[in-house]
Amino acid sequence: MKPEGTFRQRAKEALADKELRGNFRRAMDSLMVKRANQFSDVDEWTRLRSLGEAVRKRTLEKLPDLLEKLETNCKKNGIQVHWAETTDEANQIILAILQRRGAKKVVKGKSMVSEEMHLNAFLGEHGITALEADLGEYIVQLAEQMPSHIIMPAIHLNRRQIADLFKKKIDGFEYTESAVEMTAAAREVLRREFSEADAGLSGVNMAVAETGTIVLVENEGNGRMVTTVPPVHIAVTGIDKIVENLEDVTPILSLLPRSATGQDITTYVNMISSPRKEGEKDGPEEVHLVLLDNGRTRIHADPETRQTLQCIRCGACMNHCPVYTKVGGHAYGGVYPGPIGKILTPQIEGIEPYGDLTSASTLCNACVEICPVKIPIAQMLVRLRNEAATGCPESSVKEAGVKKSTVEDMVWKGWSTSHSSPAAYSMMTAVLGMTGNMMPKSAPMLKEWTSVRAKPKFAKKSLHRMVKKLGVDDE
Amino acid sequence: MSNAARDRILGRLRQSTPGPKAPVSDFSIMEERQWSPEERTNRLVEKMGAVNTEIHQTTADDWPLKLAEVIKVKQAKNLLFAKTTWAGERIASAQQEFDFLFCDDADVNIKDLAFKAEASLTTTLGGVADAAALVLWPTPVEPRLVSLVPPIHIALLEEDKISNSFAEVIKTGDWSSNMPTNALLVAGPSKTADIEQELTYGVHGPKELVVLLIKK
Ligand code: SF4
Repeated sequence: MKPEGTFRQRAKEALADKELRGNFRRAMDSLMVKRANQFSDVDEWTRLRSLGEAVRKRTLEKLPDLLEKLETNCKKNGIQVHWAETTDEANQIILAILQRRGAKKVVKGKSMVSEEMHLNAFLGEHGITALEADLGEYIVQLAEQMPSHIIMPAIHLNRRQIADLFKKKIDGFEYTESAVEMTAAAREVLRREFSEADAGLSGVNMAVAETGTIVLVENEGNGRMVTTVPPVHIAVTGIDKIVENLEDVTPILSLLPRSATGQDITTYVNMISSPRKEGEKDGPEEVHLVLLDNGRTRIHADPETRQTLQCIRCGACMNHCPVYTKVGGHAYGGVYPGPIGKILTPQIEGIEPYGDLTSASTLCNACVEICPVKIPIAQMLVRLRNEAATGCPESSVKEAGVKKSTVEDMVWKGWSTSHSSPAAYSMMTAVLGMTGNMMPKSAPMLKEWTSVRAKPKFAKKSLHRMVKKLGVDDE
Repeated sequence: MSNAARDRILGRLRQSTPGPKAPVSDFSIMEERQWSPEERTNRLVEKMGAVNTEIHQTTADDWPLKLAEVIKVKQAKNLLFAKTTWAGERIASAQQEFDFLFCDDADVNIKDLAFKAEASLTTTLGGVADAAALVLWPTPVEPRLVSLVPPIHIALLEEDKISNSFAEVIKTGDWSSNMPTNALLVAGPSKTADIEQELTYGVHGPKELVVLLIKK
């Protein structure tokens, strides 16, 4: 998928939208405070976070073995496991399951991977309705938009906008801007859907290899509904969302909600280890787990980029990013916005369509400081910028080198030569001192440089020369 | 398709360049906090209360009375519960002012019943003090929908079954060799903050969670 326009264009539009900026500012400020309150004990934060990092790194180190173990244990429990290399394959797998069951209507819990797959649109093309049940996702679906935050999908809209939307889309909705009443309206619509749906679809927060368990965390109960009421449950996950042991779940259960929304724990932690067993009166007859690669094996290939896969999708990096909090999620043009999006999206979708995201950062390190699993996001941004511009042939990064520019290369070569030879250096500064200011703003590279900065002014004499003239030895 | 995909995915992962060894996972932080029984109760009551759980402290003798009182205040016309649990036996044997809906009748359509019920009662496996939540293992007798669909969920929690942490629960209960179809932690009533971050209770799950805390 190629986004429309460039990040720069989209960001410019977002910055001019006062309502949007207000909506984000309010939300992000409160989330930052709530998270900070959770981690006021520095010792606890440091140790818990190191454990979170260790658990995720160990998973990635053993990933192929753990995936096999997960498959074996899921099968033992009666959960059917499917593997997909591409989003297209994953969509086909899900379609086949639904068609076999004659399913026409699917209710969904929140799943970012299904967004990656554009699953709703795909099912729609095949005559199957997929209805989002998480309130935020439901709102975004009614608005025919993409989520703008991975935890709070509709954070870009305010209550007036949502009320307008409900008025337009929900039959019999009496206009109100009360969050309580709007929530009640959505509850009523979705209750009916839960009880009538032919299948439920969910994401996965963690899949436990040791026990073959799917762990889902949520506040609303929609995740429990979609995994309990319909006769079929299909869970989709990237191959990275695995943990080795049940014990490994415990630090992540603590880090995830506290980082995401400042809660001690989500309202529900839902652990599913099998379909309905003999004698049980409810729960789905079939449970399927779809494991999706979609570029993750490539990200895994290199030890540095592999760290991207440590992510537990808490969204805290978004809430703390000075760029995200101003431009919002849609400016990133992909499924995953904010700092994690800047490193994940170009690696999944390619540098060609999404490489410009890597420069949408000041490298201020705010995300690195709060990331609960210590992903060095800033370092990864620099790596991806390098990959975009240089592209060594063995690189594992998708479309490395596509942003290579001959002019830029020449300038850097010139810079390197002039800085490694005293004669060339003194000649360069002399020439720039005399003619540099005559360079028009529109000159190649200077144009990009000056688009957001003042044009540099060259002094007639370089500092180096003046100091030398004062008799300071420069050797 | 899928087997070839599986082999290729695993094959590629096995080719990945090894990196520095993963740091040792030191779990000490997960079980460091140990409280006295009283502290555990207080912590759970305080924290679950803060997310809108209604908690009544009662005793092994008095809880059925408390239950009847709660149902009366909430004006629920019926109660969905299992008549064959230790708790169910106590209620089902007495005359009550609400209708009984039994989730453990042999040929019950639990879905219809759950969507019809105005309140439900379940037992719990216990609770955890650190994050403050109930631990539930639905069973054939007390199915999954009972604690999920009715707008009011009333849960019985025995005070001596409150552990320090979830880490402790899975270890002492040997969960890893013993996982049920569905296990749950429940911290409060269903909630959302998806509209302008305004906290609103009762989206999809129960609007109210009532805990009858049975003191020893
Ligand atoms: S990169 Fe870190 S902070 Fe951002 S979503 Fe992932 S785990 Fe959370």
